[in-house]
This record gives sequence, structure tokens and C-alpha cells, in this order.
Amino acid sequence: MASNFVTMGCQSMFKMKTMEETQSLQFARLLQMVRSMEADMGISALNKAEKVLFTCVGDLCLGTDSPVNLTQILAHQDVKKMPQATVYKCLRDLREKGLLDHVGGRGSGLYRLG
Amino acid sequence: MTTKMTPFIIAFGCYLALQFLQFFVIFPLEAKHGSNVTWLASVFFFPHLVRVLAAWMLGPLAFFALLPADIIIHLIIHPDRQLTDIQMLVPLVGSGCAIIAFELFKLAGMNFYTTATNISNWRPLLLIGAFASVINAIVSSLLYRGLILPNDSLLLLGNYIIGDVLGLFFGLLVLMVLIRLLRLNASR
Repeated sequence: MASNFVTMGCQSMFKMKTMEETQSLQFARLLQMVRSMEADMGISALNKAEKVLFTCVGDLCLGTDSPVNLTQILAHQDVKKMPQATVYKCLRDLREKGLLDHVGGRGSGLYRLG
Repeated sequence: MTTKMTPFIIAFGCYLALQFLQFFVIFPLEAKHGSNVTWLASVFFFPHLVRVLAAWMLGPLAFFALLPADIIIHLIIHPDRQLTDIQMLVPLVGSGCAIIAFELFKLAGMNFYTTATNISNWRPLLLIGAFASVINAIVSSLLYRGLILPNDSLLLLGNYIIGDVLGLFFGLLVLMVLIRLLRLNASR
């Protein structure tokens, strides 16, 4: 008898948890849908690493129209601690978002603000 | 039980609030500069956003969240309407059009309900919303056939579709801006 109550209690708690999870999932889907809209409109938010890299390129470009070398970017104080793979990924993402332009041929390592 | 009902209560509340905004703010504004069928259709019909989002997230059961709100607003704006009037079917169409559209897409092998897919994109929602709007426009025009001039039928049909699609699109934009603002505030 007592075990039946425990089982029923566990079942109802599980149902409640599942319901809460479903609602969280629905909210996550809503956020995902909104993000897809932001992405299509080209206004998706930059992540922390992208912001750092973008401000770093802006910092290095300041006052000049000349492109920035990848070596300069990697040597920048804010980027130094960032793993190189993240830097490359962010540079690619920023280019895709139109915030940075790649200058010269493939592998030139030169960037300027988009 | 309360947890189970919360999404339905939210959908009902949002739908009713947007219906009030639509009929008591946007419609009068449009009537000042708009067409002669403005009492029936709007250029920006924002409640369509809730119809589509509720159907997308809650499935066919969303109908029971939307219908009471539709009936309430229908009885407020048409207090003289008799229960036997054919126009009393308008709330049923309004509440059910998005669900019918989702179900028709599902029958065609494209199930866009949140429970059926891992990808959430706004474009299929806009497509389904437009399809739902066509269903709503055609059936509502038939229901209002005796009340408007035949020449206005086409105008009404167009107004319904444009209003619903623009309302859905701009509603999604507003939702996007609101969520961005919330996110920015949260990150500060």
C-alpha cells in the first residue's frame, strides 16, 4: 500500500518535471526561432569572443584605412589569451556577418573593418 | 494542473489583449485613414501572431485557449448579434485557421509543430501563417457575404490576407526586439 503511494507520488513528480521541461523546451524553441529571425536580418548578437576580436581590429585600425595583419591581431593584448582556433573561427564568423573584410588573396592574413 | 494550464492561460491572455489592442486602438486609427471595410479587417492584424505561435507551440489544443478570447471580443464588438447568426461562426474560423494550416502541412508530410522538429525557424511560421490567413479570409468572406457589398468581397479578402501576414511579420519583429531588450538587460 505504502509502496503504491510512493510510486504514484514519483509518477506525478515525474509528470510535473516533464511538463516543466516541455515548457522550458517550448521557450527555448521560441528563442531559437527569434534568433533565426535575427540571423536572417543580419542583426544577430555577437558573442563575447567576437566582440573582443571586433574591438581589437577596430583598435588596430583606428585612424587608418590600412588593413590589419593577423600577427598584429594575435599579438593584441585582449586576444593573446584566446585560443588560436577561436580567433580563426571568430574572424570567419565576423566576415560572414559583414563586420570584417578579408583583404588580398587567400591566406594573406589581412583584415579591415567591413 | 496549474503548470499544465499555464501556457494556455498565457495564450488566452495574449490573444485577448492583442484583440483589444486591435479593435480599440488600431482599428479606430485605421478607420480614420482606411478603407470602408476596416470594421472587418485591418492592415496589421497582430492577433494572428498569437494564433500561429499558440498553434505552433501547443498543437491543436491551442484552439481551446484561443476560442474563448475570440468569442469574448466578438460579443463585445457585436453585442446585437444573435446566436443563430451565421457570423457567430467567425470566432471558430479565427481560432482554428492556424491549427488547420499546421494540420494540412502535417498531412502533406511537413510537420512544423515544436514537438515534431528540433529546428525552429521563423520562415515556415510565416508560410503557415500566410496559409492560415488564406483559410481565414476565404471562410470569413463567405460568412460575411450578406453583410458587405459584393464589390467589397475581394477587398475584404485581400485585407484579411495582407493584415494577417503583415501582423504576423511585424508581430514577430516586435517579439524579436522585446527579447533582445530583455537579453541586453539581463547581460548588464
